[in-house]
Amino acid sequence: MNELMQAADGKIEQQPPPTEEERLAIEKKCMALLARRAARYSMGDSTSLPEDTALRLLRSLRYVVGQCGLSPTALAAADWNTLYEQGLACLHTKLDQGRKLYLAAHATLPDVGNRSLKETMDEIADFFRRYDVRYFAAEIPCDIDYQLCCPVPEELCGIDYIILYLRRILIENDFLHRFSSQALIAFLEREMPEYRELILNLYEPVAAMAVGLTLAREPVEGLMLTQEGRQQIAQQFLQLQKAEADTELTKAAWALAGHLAITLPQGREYLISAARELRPRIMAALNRREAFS
Amino acid sequence: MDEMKLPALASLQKQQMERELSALNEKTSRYGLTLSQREITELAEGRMEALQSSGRVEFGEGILPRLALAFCDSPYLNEENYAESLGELQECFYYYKSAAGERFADEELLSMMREAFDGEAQGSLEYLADTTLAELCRAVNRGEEWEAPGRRPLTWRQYEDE
Repeated sequence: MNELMQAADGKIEQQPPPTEEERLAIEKKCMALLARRAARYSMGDSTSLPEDTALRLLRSLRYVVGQCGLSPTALAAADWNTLYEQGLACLHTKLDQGRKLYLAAHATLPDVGNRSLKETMDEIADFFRRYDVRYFAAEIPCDIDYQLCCPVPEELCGIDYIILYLRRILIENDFLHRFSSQALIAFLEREMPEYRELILNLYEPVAAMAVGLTLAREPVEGLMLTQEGRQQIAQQFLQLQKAEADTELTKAAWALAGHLAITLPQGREYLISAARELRPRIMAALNRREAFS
Repeated sequence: MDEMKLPALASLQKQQMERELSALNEKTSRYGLTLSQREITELAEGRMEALQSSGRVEFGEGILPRLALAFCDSPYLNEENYAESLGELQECFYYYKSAAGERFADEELLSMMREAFDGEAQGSLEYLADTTLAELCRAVNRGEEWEAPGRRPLTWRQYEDE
């Protein structure tokens, strides 16, 4: 039922659970629609399908009908043929949206030469050619190797996954463009000499360095933290509890966003989320220092 | 239906198929072939097992009525072996439908089975399954050329027109 209730931003809308009568009505309508979809899929040539194919069709039709965002009560009463057509129309609109997001994301890719990012964007271009919204709308027919700093929830599927992925790529691209290509390349070559060939996220290490520079009150644009800056951060965090450390990181991310003129809420929230992920790594690094001191 | 599964099909389909097979008796009786209620029930249950073992799902009345219609005028079927033969043919059909990678439409496979059953298999279901169809699947999976057989089974409409 959760698939039917999932909104496009990845959040699952909480609906009251269906009554037993509603559940049976939904199941009956779903299976009737599945039988029709299966007949269309086989073009009348087959009365039977491999179970795997039938499950894929089932998952797809539930995803399509779920686009309508109805409550269990409404689903139990509705004409599922009509819902299916409405859901398909919604997905076609999302496909248009996705194509625009792709073009924007592709146009704003950072010019640092990471192969994984380029190949993933090529794969997403192929997604729009391969995506079968009629029968397999819940699937993502492409390989997405480039991992985001804040990954898309795995529960998302189909074009919804791609849309959120591209939105987050745009956020990451926008952040990376706040730094010069020379500074980015110099930083990446220093920290990860093989970054061009590695499957790694570019945003995360740059954001981590920028947050660190903000904490140390050193210039952000150069992406280079001095030894004194590292010691200052270590001194600061040694005395902090987890919650206090999270607060300091959040404040630093907020200040960094202001300094870089990241005004969109999504961009700021993304940076804050990335900054909070630094706490365990900072604590682990401090623990190692103490262990060896 | 939080889990991705295919429930609620079996009992409805079983009833529908049993109705279809009962109605089919009127047509096949002219060839001396009829199914008792017990045989119809057993065939319906056998269908579920055959689908499960071949990893398939079926909607609607299923293939069995068309299978019966396709084979009812075979010289190798009689009242004694009719029900059992249908059961084995059904199992064979689902198995080779999957084994050939969905390359055959239902009517094509039915037609090939009938032609081979009456031809080189000479009424032997074992020969049909283990030799003819197995060879055909191997050929198809190797990407070899294959032609549809000339003889096609009667459809309901053709049967009615006779």
